[in-house]
Amino acid sequence: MRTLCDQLLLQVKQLVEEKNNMGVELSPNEKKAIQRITKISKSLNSTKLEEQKKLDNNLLDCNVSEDIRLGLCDGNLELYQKLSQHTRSKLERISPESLVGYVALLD
Amino acid sequence: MEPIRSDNIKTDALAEFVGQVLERQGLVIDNMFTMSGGAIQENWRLDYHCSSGAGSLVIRADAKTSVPGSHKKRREFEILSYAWKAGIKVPKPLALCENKDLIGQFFILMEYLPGTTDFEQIKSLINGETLGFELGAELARLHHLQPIELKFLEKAVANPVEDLIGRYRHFFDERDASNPVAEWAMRWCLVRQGNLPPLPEVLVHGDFRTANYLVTSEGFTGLLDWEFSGWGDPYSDLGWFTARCWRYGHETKPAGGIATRDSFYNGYSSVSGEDVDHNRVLFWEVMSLLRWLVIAIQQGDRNFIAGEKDLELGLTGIVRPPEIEMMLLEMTAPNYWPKTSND
Repeated sequence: MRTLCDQLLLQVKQLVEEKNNMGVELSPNEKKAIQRITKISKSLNSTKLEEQKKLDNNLLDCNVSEDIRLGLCDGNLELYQKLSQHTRSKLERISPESLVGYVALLD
Repeated sequence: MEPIRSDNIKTDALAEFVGQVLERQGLVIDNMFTMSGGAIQENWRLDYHCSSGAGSLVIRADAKTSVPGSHKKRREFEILSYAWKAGIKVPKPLALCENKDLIGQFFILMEYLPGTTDFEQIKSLINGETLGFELGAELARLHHLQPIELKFLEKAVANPVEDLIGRYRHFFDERDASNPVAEWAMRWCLVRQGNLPPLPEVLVHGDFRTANYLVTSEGFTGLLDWEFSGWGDPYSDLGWFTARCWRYGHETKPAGGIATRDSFYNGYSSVSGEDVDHNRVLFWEVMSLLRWLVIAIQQGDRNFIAGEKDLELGLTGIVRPPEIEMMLLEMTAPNYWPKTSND
């Protein structure tokens, strides 16, 4: 997640430079996108490295995807709670507004 | 709308082509604007004048990269032509151009219909419940068509749910990126589908949602964006329309964010003659969320991997997946799983 966000930040930098060189203003949507990317980046940066790893690992260490696919976890409450908590943590970092309702990314 | 700036457009040649299609001599293109379109397709409005008057048309072309499953232009043109001839409200397709010299890619030239696709404008223009009813009725009309002459459409598969989930699983496996929430929801679908009686497949729109139809203060004027149409379960269209991801946050208006389920279902039933199976719609809402999850990840890949360098695509790839995963989990909580003999 951090890597993807860094990639977006680099794109933002390139876009701003490009527009400056051309003497063209950023469009409202570009400005909005930049604000959102900066906000996500700040939020991820404030996350401890250990927590970040947890978010990125996506529960891979449990081989949980394979077990689900094999039908070994059908309707399992404990797993469901773990998945919900993990997803909620990701959203809190990336887009806390989404926990309340739909978020329009851009216009 | 923004004027198009592209070195690929040969305005004179394009004007000649449009003139030939409309059978007007001396046609001149005055302006070309990008219209609100998707990340997958580009729609441009073209304003022209000639000795007999002025008018507007629409050019529809692929975006730089497209999402798997979207039709090539010829197929889309044939489906659109079929729908138009069958009386479905769509812009009249005028010509297919397979000469890349004109704008740098193949495109469909079509009638310009009045109206807006903008959610906020739609809400201010018309009563949502009336619109929801109208849209339900139009969708049922579409589902009554039997386009056997469209031989290029993929044949119906024995089990569309298993087929789709097989594709989604393949997608996640290919990316080598495990997604336990998607796996959980796919498993839920496979377990739940046993409760759903099979239905004959029909011609489905494939992207029937708010933003893909035009509305004026008089009502619904046209159904757009046919690039995902094909054979499918009719409820895949209903579930896509009512899925949480397409309600724009208006939870009290599950039908596309503009109407209640009742209005939409009643409109559908008024043409189909049968009650809408609400549980089947809910099932297809989960399938729809899975589909949108895959598309959102693909859109992110277009920025991060394919190099399209588009901040919106990148943001979609980062923000939408956990958002959709949360919705999937809410719809597939343990108490929504069928009871097993062990329970």
